[in-house]
Amino acid sequence: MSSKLIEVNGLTKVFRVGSLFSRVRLTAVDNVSFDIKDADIYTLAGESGSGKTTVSRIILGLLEASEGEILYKGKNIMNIKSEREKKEFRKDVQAIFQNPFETFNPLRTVENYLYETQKNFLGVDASDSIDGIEQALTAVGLTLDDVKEKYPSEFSGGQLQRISIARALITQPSLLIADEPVSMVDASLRMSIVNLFKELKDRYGLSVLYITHDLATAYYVSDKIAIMFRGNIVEKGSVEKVLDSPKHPYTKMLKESIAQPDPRDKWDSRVDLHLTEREEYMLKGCKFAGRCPHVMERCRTEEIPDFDIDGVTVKCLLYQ
Amino acid sequence: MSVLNTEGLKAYYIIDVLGEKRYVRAVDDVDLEIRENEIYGIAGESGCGKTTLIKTLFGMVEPPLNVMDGKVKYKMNAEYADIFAMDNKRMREIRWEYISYIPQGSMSVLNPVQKVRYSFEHFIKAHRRIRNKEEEFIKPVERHLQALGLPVQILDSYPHQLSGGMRQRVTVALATVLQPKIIIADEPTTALDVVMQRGVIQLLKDVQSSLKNTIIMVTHDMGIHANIADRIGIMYAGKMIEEASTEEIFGNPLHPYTQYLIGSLPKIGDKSYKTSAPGAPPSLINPPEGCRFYPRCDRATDECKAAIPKLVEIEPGHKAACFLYSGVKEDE
Amino acid sequence: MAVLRELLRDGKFTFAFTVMSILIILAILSFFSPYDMSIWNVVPRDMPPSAEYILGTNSKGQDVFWEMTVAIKNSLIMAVIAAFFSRLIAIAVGLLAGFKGGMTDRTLMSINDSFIVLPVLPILILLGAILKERLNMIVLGLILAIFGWAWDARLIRSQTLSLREREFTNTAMLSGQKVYELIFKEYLPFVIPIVSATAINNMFWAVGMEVTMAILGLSNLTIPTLGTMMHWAISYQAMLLGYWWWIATPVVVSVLLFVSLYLLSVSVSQYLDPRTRIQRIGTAKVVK
Ligand SMILES: Nc1ncnc2c1ncn2[C@@H]1O[C@H](COP(=O)(O)OP(=O)(O)OP(=O)(O)O)[C@@H](O)[C@H]1O
Ligand SMILES: Nc1ncnc2c1ncn2[C@@H]1O[C@H](COP(=O)(O)OP(=O)(O)OP(=O)(O)O)[C@@H](O)[C@H]1O
Ligand SMILES: [Mg+2]
Ligand SMILES: [Mg+2]
Repeated sequence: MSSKLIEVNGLTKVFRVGSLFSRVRLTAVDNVSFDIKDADIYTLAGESGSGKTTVSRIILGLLEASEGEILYKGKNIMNIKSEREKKEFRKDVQAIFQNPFETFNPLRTVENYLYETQKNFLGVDASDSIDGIEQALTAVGLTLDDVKEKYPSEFSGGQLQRISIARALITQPSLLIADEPVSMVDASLRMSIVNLFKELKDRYGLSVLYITHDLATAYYVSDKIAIMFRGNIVEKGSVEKVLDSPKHPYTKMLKESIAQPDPRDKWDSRVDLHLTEREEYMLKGCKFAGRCPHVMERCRTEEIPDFDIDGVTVKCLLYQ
Repeated sequence: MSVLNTEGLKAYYIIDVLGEKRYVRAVDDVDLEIRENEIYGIAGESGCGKTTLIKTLFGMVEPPLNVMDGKVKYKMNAEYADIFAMDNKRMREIRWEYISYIPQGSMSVLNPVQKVRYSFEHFIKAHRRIRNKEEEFIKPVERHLQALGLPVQILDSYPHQLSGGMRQRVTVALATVLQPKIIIADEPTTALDVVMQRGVIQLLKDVQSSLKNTIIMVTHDMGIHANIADRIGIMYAGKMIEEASTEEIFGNPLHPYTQYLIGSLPKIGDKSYKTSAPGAPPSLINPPEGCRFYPRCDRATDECKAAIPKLVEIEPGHKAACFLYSGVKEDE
Repeated sequence: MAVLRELLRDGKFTFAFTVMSILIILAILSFFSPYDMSIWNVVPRDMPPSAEYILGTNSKGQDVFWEMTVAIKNSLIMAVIAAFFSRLIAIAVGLLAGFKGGMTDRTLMSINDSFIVLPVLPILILLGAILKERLNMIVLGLILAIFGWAWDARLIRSQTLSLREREFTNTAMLSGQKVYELIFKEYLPFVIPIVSATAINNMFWAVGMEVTMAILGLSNLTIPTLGTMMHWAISYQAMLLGYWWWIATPVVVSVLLFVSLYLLSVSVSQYLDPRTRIQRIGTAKVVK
């Protein structure tokens, strides 16, 4: 069994939202725990506004957590103070973002970011060596000539997303955080990007935290999955177990909502569209109670604990 | 019976690069026949010209886009009218009433600094003279929203107060409030998560079944096409390369590009390795001579490099543009 | 040069550029002036334009043409100083407030807002009255700079606030850029267009202020500027006495200067508009 690369324990983030006079506390991430092993693709899935991006921003150090700890290779990264250690961590944990057209500054050529990443983390000047950059570009199926002296507007979304991945790979990270990397690209590019994750994992032992609401690609690439809903992880386990036979009513609904690319398998039921996101966040007990077909009185009042059943962790009283 | 058809439609972007004219052949010789009471899906890679085609169908042709050749005809009162022969006044009249358009990233339809109610009012006033506001505006709009399962309170919200999915549904409601014969929607669900996506699609379907009208829908999400389209057209580099019923496209794709497209779709419960077509779509400024897919096609022959295959019927109701099935060439 | 060629395709710009070039050449000519402008009565007084005195002479016994060249030079120098230093302050304050946010932002913006609401003209009149003889063009330029940055700082701040939320900020951080690199490499290219377009507006405003103060007699009248030329012409009643060339020269030059600055600002801001700039970056490359 491989060792834990990153361990997130009891992560909580509270935002204060609303106008000056009606401030409310919104627990965007509520006591979230999971861990990613070496050479593992871990999916964080869930609908819009469930706290996925917030988790990733906290891991990347772009946002401060309210509570909880993140152990990276056994060390709590929230206590890192020194610049040197921060840089070490940045070098090891890199990220790519959702909108490839926004990833690079439109007024700068994209190659700049590749040179800067090499210079800042490896201390290698582009005038001395560009081997690292070429290797990273080769890994995503591009060459330096393809990107030289070009601005972001001269690339397609898929190409930009590949360049973005290449940039992240230059530092030879152990963990890549990918926040909805495919939601803006079309079906054919989508597969080439997720295939790339698989390949990088197999070849270089890279771990990926894959954030998405596309359960089909999640099933295709990942080993483990955690389903998030309004700040909570409602179900987590191996991707086959969770998606082949979902246990939590929310996971079931999410799975049913996928438009299957098969005309023999059309939606037969209707979805119930819900309260606003804010209202659901404010619920006590289970946040899904408002939409759940199996809702019980206790769901609305009690704190819901996690239950382990055949290797899957579920936050639902049905499995008590 | 077709409600909208095109003949040899060519719409190019003409860009001026330091005094030199260049043509982006975004829609290149497209023939369409959209039937009454159907949902017609258009799929294809990013940048293949879907948005451009749809804009042209709506008559929204503004520089740098130019219609080089061909016609777009709407069937109105049992006659076909060429929209490029209409004057602006006529065009304004039929837009939204006869044909309406949900643009890509359609948040822009709603005025961001005004309540939603204002957008509706503005919209309706542009087409109907309203004398009695209560009877002719408020009640019909509320009825329309209720019929679509949207809460009436949204009329008093500002667009930014609504979630992305709700906003998108409001846009659909707005585009259908005048009960158009044809609705064209460009990627109405792309930025939304699966649950919201489903809500919007459900809404479009409801609209279609109650108005019995035609929807032309562009999306690159094949799952959505599978769920609601009756027929699908596959576009590649400015051309229609295959057209058939949804069952045929998914069950029996003919064109190698379509086969790649369908074969690469991930499904829950299936972990087998899937690849998409190798390479990247061609530049529309300098498309390859001959079939535009041949550089990426593993079944290409010399013939494919030399001539452009024409979109012809291969099996009843199933058209494809590929020399594997028919030798008919496009006459240049 | 490519930029200039691109800009010269715009008729407005070509016109403004030509006028401005002529004015600058005139300003440079001032260094070759045969007369010292601080000395009076070096030429016959009140002569109309002639072959010898192209624009005639004035009642102080000075050559109007050469006085004009010095005036253009002084007014331009003052305007450039005002524009340059006010831009520096605006960029520093705007970027800092926008990037740091929080307390820094609030403090800087409250200072900023006081400068926006401050009534500039009365303060300048007061300063002019106090400083008077000591007020040379550099000092005036700096004083105007202090009153000319606030609007731009606000613009730059809001621009920076939105840039900070854009995803490429994160990419830059993950590429290991330090804060100052981030600001200079990522944000400044967005800020420069705002700044260069408004710099021209600011010069416009500075020249106008100088003229106003001089006409009111509130600046150092021994230094020839467009404003002081008008002041002297008016106080010697040039109009009434029919010495039209004396009053017409600074008025016509000022109008030309204003018009060319205005047109420059319009066409430059069009050119630098990030949206068209991005399009240009994209399409210009297609040629290769
Ligand atoms: N800086 C912030 N201030 C206040 N609230 C915030 C902030 N960032 C996020 N939130 C709120 O936290 C909740 C979770 O947001 P988050 O972006 O993490 O969701 P997500 O799962 O990534 O959604 P999406 O799929 O739309 O990206 C949302 O309700 C959001 O409005
Ligand atoms: N204003 C424009 N000027 C020049 N070329 C343009 C313009 N708009 C689009 N194009 C080009 O026309 C082609 C077709 O674009 P279009 O927007 O129709 O694609 P699409 O199929 O809708 O793609 P997507 O799925 O990304 O929305 C693209 O190659 C694009 O670069
Ligand atoms: Mg997110
Ligand atoms: Mg489009």
